[in-house]
Amino acid sequence: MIAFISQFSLALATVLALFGAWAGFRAVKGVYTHAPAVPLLIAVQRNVLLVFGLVCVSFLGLIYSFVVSDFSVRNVAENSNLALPVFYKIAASWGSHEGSFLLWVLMFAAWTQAVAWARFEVSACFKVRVLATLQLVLVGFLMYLLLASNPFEYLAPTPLDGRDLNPLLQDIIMIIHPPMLYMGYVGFAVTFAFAVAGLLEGRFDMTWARWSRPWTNVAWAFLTVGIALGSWWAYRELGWGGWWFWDPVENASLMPWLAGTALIHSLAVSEKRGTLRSWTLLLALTTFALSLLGTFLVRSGVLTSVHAFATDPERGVFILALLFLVVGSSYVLYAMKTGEVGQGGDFKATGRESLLLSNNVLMSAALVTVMLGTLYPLVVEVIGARKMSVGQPYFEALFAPILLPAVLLMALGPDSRWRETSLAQYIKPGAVALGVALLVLLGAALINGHFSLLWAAGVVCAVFMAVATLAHAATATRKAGSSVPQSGLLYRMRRLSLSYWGMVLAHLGVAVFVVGVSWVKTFETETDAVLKPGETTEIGPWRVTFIGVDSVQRQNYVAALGVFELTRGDGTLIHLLEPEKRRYQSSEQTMTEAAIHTDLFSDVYISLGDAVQSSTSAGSWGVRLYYKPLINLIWWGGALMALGGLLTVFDRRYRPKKNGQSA
Amino acid sequence: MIKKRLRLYLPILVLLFLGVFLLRGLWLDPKKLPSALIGKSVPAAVLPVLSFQGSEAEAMQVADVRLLQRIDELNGQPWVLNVFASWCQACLIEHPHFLELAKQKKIRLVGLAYKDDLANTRRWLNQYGNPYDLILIDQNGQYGIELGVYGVPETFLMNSKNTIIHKQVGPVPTDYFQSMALPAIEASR
Repeated sequence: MIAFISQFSLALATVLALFGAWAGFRAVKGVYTHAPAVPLLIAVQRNVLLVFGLVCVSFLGLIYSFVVSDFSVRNVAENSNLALPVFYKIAASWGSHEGSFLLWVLMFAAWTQAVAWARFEVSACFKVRVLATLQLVLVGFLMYLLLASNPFEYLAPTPLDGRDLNPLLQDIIMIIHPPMLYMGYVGFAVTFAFAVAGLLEGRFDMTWARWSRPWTNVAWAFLTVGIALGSWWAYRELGWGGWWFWDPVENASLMPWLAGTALIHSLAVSEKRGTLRSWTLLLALTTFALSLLGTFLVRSGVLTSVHAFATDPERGVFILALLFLVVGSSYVLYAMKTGEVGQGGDFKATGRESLLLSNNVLMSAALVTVMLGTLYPLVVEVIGARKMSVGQPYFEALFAPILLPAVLLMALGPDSRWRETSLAQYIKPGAVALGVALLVLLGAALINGHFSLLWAAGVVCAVFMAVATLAHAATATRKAGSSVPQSGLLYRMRRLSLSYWGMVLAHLGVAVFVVGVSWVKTFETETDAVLKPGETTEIGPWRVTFIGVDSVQRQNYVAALGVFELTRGDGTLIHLLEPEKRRYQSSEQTMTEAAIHTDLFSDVYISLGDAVQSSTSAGSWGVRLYYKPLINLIWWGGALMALGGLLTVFDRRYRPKKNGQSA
Repeated sequence: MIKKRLRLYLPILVLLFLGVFLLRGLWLDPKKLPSALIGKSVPAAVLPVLSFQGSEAEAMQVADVRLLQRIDELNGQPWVLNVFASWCQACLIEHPHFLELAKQKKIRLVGLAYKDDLANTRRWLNQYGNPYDLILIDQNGQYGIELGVYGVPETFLMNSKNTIIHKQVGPVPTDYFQSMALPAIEASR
């Protein structure tokens, strides 16, 4: 009954969204003024709310079906189980293909609703066009849910018990990871809709760019969190100690991120200087296109990957057709209309525009690199050559040389001026920061004792950029209060905009990330050992003593629980580590649950292998140990970037102006 | 000027180009891994045979299974090995095709009860019908490892000399025997 209501809500939402899009586009056809559109806008906004409400009902219905274990719903029977803890039952709602698409649609409806609610100073007509575009795209995905991927499909005969949620997904991070990622993917739809509306109106003024910036930043921040969580999850859960595998699906989420990063920066140029308009529009369309491509790659099974879930050509064709319709029509619109939009003014090679443009060039290069590496195996296979895969060495060889120059340029960014900057302006702060960076490198190399090129380049670039950014922030803060004598630090900091602080934080995040990556890549160590109870081995600065293995019974799995004692070189006990080897009862899958001890930002990582079966070494277990210095900086860096992105949204200039006050 | 306008159509061209490959890619089966076993003999093993005699309690004890079958002695005519389990939902999808095939009696059907509780296996076969001429038991999944099974169901096709000539991962399609198995047998003769 609940499942039926949910499905009906989806159908109703589809019809309403279609109607809203049609009515919206029709009513504003050829109209570009403000006044007559206001009642229309209100009507469209209400329709958006209605659609959002219906999708919510449907999603809640799905969660309910999972919580009460209604196995007459195929989706529930295949992804849940009576023994599954309630917490994971809820999470299983978006663990399956169908459920995750419903989540996608829910996020989309929520973002549309947020746009409807938000106040920004664009004409009512423009807003109607934005909302209608969003509704139209939503219709496509609702149709997909209803026709090809129904999350409420009826299953007869009803099984007594379900299968199980994939044990890999039974993890707290995995519960938050997909929603975050989808918030990012779907958030770029808003920028996309702004671009389409701008193209439809055939004008692209600075207000356009100005009001799509906060949406882009939030979407980007969510995507950053999503990717970072995914990486953290892979690190903790897969038991291989790696944090990024250049897996096609990871790449699929990295592509919109890179495009989004470029978009954020080119939007800044377009807003402030009115140039690069056509390029910015193309990026806005492409970023969402890549989000859709990401969804397609993950969900169609077209690429072989650890993530490959459902593989059903029929569904794949549907998503691909949607992708074509949405992206293709927007590209055609772009080709036809962007001539009217124009390029905007010129700028000099040393100005801030050039720096931001170089960011765009480097990000695009990185994007093309990832795309080639991800799709090349597919192309080769389609042509009929053979199965192949492009691995880590390709990406690593190409990525660092592209990204490190970007980090260097970021150091100069804050000191640059629009239009033209004299080179002298870069030299003084740059020289100081470079000096500091070299000193840090020297110090770190002396302490660590060994050295690698990647590490040295990474550390120098990151420290250089961080110091330059902080120095700029310090100078700017000092100047900001100079008109008010005796002003406090906090007052001065608040005089600078939140957009500025957001930029500072995000850039520092990049520096932190780069330091983490270069450290781990150079100094991580890894040992495989076979240990008898009581035996000790060493890893990094730690001594690890194997105490023994226990067997434990939990709600939906049994586990071999290893106990390890972690001591520093001098013998002081620090911590007990308890890695597990789980066997999930309903699906008979085994999972390795690594134990990790974090000390400052460095990790000791133990994963339990198998018991050794021989008479001479009874009680011995194979153990894999890793020492990962500063690895946590990678995720802290991601967190800083996301925080920076979020901060910009609260900037004064995006707050609604009070009545009567002029801009 | 015309050149400049044409350049604007570049994104859509790139999209079309990529689209062709993505579309074609959909019909490539990522599960169609080139099985190392194709063209080789079926791995030799002695496996217990599931018996329908006696009570369910008796069937549950593997030690009590008196009947054993050497897999490499199943030659003489082409045969099919279907890896199945009572806990496997996807097995229900292909099960009718096997029942249909059993009626036609064109080929020998061998089931491999994979990591299953034997009482459940029997109950499952009683409920949905038993298409198999012979059911072998692989309770700890040992033989599955030798076959390279990584998901249930999987179906292997052997010719009369016990050489594996085809492997299907996942449920067999409706026309598996007409379009894939029989031609493969013809070709291998």
